[in-house]
Amino acid sequence: MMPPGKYRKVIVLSVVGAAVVLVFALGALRSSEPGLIRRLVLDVCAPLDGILRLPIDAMRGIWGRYVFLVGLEAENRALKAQNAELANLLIRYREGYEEGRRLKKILQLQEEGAHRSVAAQVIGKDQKGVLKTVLVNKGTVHGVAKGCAVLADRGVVGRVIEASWHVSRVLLITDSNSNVDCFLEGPRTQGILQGDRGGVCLMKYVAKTEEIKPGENVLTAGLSGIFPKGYLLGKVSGADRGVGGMFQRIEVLPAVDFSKLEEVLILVPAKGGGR
Amino acid sequence: MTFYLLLLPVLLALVVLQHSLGVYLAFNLVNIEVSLALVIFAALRMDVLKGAVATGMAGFLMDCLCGTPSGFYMTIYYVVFCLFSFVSPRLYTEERWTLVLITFVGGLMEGFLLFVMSGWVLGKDVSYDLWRFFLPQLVLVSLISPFLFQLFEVFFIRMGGYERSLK
Repeated sequence: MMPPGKYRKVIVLSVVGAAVVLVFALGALRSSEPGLIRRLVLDVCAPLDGILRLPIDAMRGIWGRYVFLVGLEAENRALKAQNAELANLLIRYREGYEEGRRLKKILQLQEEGAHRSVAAQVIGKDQKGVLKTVLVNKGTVHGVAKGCAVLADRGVVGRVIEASWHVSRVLLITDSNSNVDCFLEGPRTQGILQGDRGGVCLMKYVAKTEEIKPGENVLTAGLSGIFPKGYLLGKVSGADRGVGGMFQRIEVLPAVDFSKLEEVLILVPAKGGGR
Repeated sequence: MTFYLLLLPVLLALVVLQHSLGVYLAFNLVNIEVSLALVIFAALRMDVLKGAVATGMAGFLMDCLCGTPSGFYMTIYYVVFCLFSFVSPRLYTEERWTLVLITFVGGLMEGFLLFVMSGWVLGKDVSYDLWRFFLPQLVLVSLISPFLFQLFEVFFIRMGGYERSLK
């Protein structure tokens, strides 16, 4: 069956090499949708990974909840104070929201109802690999499709780049392949938020004439149709006009701590189908 | 035939396990890329066809788990496998420190290929990630490679894919 003699190795390596090239070419051709085998592997691996994590997650939970409680009282006090402050703020915002709704009605503008949200758990993280991604336990059977926006309680996480039946892969905003149209809350300056090395992002294409202050909130602009407008991406941690070119270098610290990410919300188009 | 039937579930378990090992044993600071050691083991100690198939499959599973386009890790692993496969008759791989060195060199090759392929296929500069994550994990995998090789030997003898001859 096998070619005998001294050329066997060369022949075998050539044949398998050709198969590798073929898979690479097919992968490049159908990059928009994951193939059947890829979906199967994702659906099989994610639960396996979950089973392996169970005992250590349990240990970590016991340690965090019942043993390591240093600073808990101080944190509790600070949170209570913050809660009272936020409750007052919420009342004021609710008033504003109601006022906006009334005005919208008067102007006969349609309510934004383009998305419904699907809650999902993070079942795998890969922030040390070539792509900065996380795996979540919801897939195409739950309506998730490529391009869906993913949020956490503190802000934007990223977007779905691959979805199998029960598992989806989310590209984090800290990946250098991620580009999100954004604006600064105060000065309303627009730009593109791109992932950078070391877990931070860069806000690009902001002219040097703009005055940017550290601590300014960076929000989604909602222009690309992936992320709705007004979701928190992060805060400006530094701006530098010193580098060459027309634009500033603005560093943005993501609002979400990706190392502690456990639950997310996936925004699924209300009428089904991805973008 | 048993080898090919068992290969997929075994590799699947291995790739998932290495993912979890990185998260828990290495405090999510580094990945422990056991699959790289497997590729080098396959090139040095396994029959060329079985080794090549195992390498291709391990690469494909890595692609599926890491989210890279199909064929990305497959190509990288396969190049590493081919290079070691051709030089294996000239390498003495019985010494522990030789294995550590060989794995380290293989890892450096993989790092270089990752850098080139990421720029070419994904349009990304991964030099920071290579320095920050890949190099520490390479040192770790190299140091435990003699143990991993022993483990693979036991495993692949049972699966029927092990070839101890010096070719």
